[in-house]
Amino acid sequence: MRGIASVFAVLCVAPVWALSPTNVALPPVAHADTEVVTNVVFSSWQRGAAKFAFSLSFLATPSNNVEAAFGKDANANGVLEPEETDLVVGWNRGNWFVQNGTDGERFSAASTSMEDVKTLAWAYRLTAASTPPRLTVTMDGVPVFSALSEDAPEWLHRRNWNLMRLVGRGLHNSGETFTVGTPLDPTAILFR
Amino acid sequence: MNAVSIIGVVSVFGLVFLWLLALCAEKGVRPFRRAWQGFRHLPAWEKALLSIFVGVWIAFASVKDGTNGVNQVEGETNTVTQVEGGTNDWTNVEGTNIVGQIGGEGTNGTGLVSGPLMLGRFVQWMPTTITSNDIAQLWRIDVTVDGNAFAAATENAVTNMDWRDYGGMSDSLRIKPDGWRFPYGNGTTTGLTVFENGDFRPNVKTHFFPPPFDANLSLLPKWNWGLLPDGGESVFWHEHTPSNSLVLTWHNALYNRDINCPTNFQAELFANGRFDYRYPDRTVQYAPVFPFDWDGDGLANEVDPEPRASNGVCFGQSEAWVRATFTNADEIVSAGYTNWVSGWVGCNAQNGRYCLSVRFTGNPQRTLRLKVGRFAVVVDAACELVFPLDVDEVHVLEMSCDCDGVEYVWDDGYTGDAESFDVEFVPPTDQSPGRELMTPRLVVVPGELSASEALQGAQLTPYINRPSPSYEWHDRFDEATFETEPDGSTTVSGIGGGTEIYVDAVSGTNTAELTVVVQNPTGADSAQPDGEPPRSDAQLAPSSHEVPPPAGDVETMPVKWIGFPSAGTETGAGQLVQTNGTFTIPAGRTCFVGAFVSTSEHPVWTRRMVEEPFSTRYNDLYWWRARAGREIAERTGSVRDLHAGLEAGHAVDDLSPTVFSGGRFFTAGTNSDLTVSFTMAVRNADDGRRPTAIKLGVFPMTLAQSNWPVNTNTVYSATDWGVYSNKLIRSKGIAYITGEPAAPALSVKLRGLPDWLTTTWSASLASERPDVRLWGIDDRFYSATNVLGETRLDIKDWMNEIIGGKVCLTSRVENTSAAATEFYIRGKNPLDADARAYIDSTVDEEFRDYAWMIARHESKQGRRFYNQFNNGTNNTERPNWGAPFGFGICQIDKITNGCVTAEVYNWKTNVVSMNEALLEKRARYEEVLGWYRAAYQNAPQAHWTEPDNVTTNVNGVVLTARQWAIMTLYNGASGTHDLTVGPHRNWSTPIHFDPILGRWSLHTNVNNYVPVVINDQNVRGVE
Repeated sequence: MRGIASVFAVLCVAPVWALSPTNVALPPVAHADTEVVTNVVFSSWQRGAAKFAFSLSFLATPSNNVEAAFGKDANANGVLEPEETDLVVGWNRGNWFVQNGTDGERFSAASTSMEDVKTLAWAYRLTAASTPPRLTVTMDGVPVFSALSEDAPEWLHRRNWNLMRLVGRGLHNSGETFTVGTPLDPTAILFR
Repeated sequence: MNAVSIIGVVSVFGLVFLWLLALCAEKGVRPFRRAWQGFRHLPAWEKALLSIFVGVWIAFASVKDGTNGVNQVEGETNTVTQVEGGTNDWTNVEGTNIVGQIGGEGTNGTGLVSGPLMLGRFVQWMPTTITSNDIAQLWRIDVTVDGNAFAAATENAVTNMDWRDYGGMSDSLRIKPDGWRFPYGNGTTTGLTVFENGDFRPNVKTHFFPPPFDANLSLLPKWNWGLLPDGGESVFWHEHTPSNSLVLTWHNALYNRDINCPTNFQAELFANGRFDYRYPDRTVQYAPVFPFDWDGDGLANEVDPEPRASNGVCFGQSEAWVRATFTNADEIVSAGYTNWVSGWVGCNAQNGRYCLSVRFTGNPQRTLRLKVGRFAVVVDAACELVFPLDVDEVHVLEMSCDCDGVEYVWDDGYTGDAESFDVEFVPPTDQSPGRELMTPRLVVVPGELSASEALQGAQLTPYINRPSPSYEWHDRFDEATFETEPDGSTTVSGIGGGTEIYVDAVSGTNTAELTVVVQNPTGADSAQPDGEPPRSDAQLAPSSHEVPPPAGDVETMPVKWIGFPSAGTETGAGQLVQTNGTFTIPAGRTCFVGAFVSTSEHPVWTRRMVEEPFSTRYNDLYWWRARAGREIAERTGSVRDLHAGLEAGHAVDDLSPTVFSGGRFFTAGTNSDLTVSFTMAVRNADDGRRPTAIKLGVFPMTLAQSNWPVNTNTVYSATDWGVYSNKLIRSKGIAYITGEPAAPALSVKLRGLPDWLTTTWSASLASERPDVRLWGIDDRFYSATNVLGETRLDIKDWMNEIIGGKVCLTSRVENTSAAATEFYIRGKNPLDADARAYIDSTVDEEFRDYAWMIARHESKQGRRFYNQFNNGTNNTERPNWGAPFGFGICQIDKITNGCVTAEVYNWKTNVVSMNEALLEKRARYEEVLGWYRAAYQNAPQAHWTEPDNVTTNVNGVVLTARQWAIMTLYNGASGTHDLTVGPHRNWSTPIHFDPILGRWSLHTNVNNYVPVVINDQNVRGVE
């Protein structure tokens, strides 16, 4: 089914307790360069929350690119600038990647899924005892980025994150849409 | 345009309109015929008014600006300022082809911008002239209207396939070609972060390059290339060129994402700091502004009307530099510059010419300007530069900034390896760069007398003891070394066989003054003042020597005594006796350096009688000073004052005739040695008697830990593996609480300090706990006074507790200035087996089955367990802290007052506290159980049962309800069952009794604590 639903992404950001999402639409592709962007305000860490999780799920092709970038909107202009970005997670032409927004260091993993719609699940845990934070990432159920799992680098999360930028590039047809949803509760975000 | 002109224009256009209307009517054009007929029947005043209106309308429409939204550049405003006095380097683009390209002819108001290459919108954006603001931003700008000056891609060009496939505007990539570098600001970058939108930066957070456009560029995905007006590819490519520049190219990129406005843009970044922006119609060159006067005319660039002057800024000694520097450039270029210099100096010639080679062994950190004499060169890369130097002139060498890795080689064409210059280094000041003065030392009259013939052997003898030895010769040399024969008494009488004599020539004309430097057999330098006879070995040995550290000590630095005896000829009151020299303090070490003056025979520590003129002005310390990169205050003092009140003939039992006359501490850098130069001078007494010695003592501060845990496993180095050594703790070094745990057995002393001097020690300890620094409960202060000589101070006894933190150790010898050295006390963790055994033996028997699991989970870091101190890469070996207030291997969490010191640094205390916490949780459990029992045990409808037999299986581990509850409560009851126990009182409880069903249920907390703890017990540890 490559119609309207052929490209979509689902991204949830939440503490350990789940929240029901409310959808907000991303603008449709409006330019020939195909890039669509939305910036979503959220609160990455509520007091006492011990988990930061989201998932990306969309039609991932060998030629498109979807990124979710996280950071603090330091200049409060409502746009997450490159210099404000701490973490970028996404899909790039056949590979999932995790990128340090500051120095550009990138970890990539080739997708092994045969499905058109691929899913990346991200869970970052900070235990109450402050043992080293642990990152669990799976792509279509397969663990990935194990190098980041234990003693997860500090750039994988910031408590001061308040803005997320979702970018899609390489969408084929004007009929395709790429929308984002966010619940009213600031601790959870849902992309669709 | 004045009123008359306006009226004239209006009239003309009105009449033309009427004529056209009449003509069209006459020719039968129906609408115009009707209009003309209507116009004819109007009253006269209406005809006139309508004519004026139409005329004004047509005139206005003909001369107003274009209205198509393009930034139309009007003829009067599109002038690009002529800069820098109109030199021909700056392109004047006034009213020429640029205007024509964007708006037709620029004044007709019909200019339209369209087509495949978008030009006009950039014009007002692109910089066209240099301003003071540009200079402040570190570049100057040249604009050349050239058109299509793009560098073509070669086979080395790399097209970004990501962007080709999916297009976009905001994506970025990092480009880091091998060997490429680009200076900017005060630094250098070796890579660039490049964005699809035309932006590029040294790194993602640093904006340095000016934006090429006033809007974003974007690229099309390949399947949309067909949308371009003229087709073609919309791509980005970059290329690292053979000349070490980096070319970035956006081809067919959309300006402002407009499919009708594709454009090309190229940037080329050169290794010398210049970068060019190339647009379809012009090139904008940004040349770096270097922090020096470009043309060396003494005017700062900001105010220099011609900052580049005629000779320009040339990098290295290129042909351009030669042509800008020499009047005979053609000759030099023809021969090759290096060859020309070599021939100019000559080989064994007698023209008295010199040359200096300056070799930069690596790329300078920043582009600099090197000036030798009248020659100036800009240096941005490793190179060797050659400068011809004229004879009989002082040549000043200057560099615009400090630079490491610079070598100098000079050649005079005569003696091959011999050095020809006196190079004097003048330290930089705040106002001026460092410079070196190079002066040819001697007037050269070659061939009349050789150095060896003039100064060899016995011929030295007459000059050694003369107050101002001098010798005339007619050859040039700078330094000669003579190894005397063991029996060469006539040559160096009184010095002894094997001693080397260095004869050093000083600048002068046909006259060289000789200074004899004696190096004694012990290897330490001694300086003999002019006019003094050489000393015997017996006299020299005790005055300048080293006292090696005891065998087996961790100390490797010897105590040093530097100085010379001055007994002998009494040459009058008030004469200065001085010595000088250097000593080196190894990296990370602190030494006390004291000055001493002795009045007795050697050895200097003998007892003597106080006698006249000791109590009078005998040997006032005139001054002494030491230099270690900076001058310290000159010190003066009177030895006499120290002995005032003593009567003649008094037996001095405890008073050494060697008098301490002040000192100070020196601390070397953490990673670099510190070399100190010093000079000491003492005046003779009023009666002319001399001090028997003036000496400098260098006493190393020895701080050591005797139970320092050795890392036998470098991977898991935060564990105490049970192997200890005696370890010297250097400045900024780390001492450790052991895994026992035991406090570091630290001791400190000033090795070699005479036992008649005392030291005051103090230490302040500031906690490295992250939670309580503001509270200061772990901050300490210790002090010890009147510690004699090199007596060791045991810090372990001094502190008397297990505690860590940053320690500032301060010492003061006598009444000198105090000095501080810093080190850290951090901690090692116990072996897992030791921790488990201690927990099992310490906690209440009821908790033994799971207390170790709790500790193992609470303080685990990765697969490393039982960590009282951090075991990862963050805050390594500092207290293991977990939010909000947890510390130690059991993460004792005291919300109200925080953990006590012992709980933070002593893991065994931490375990004891865990046991106390579990006892408290057990009481809490009993309280909850008591409430249920009271509520339901005798209730009519309740089916009461005790929870004794309630169990749960958690991943193979069977726990009772009691164990489940106590373990859960250790982590907190939040998220468990809410139990209302009163009108305004709720409890959270991990167990709950349903009185109707007569069943107990177990509830986990928000962290699912018990299953997580149980799971962790199955994870294999790695210490």
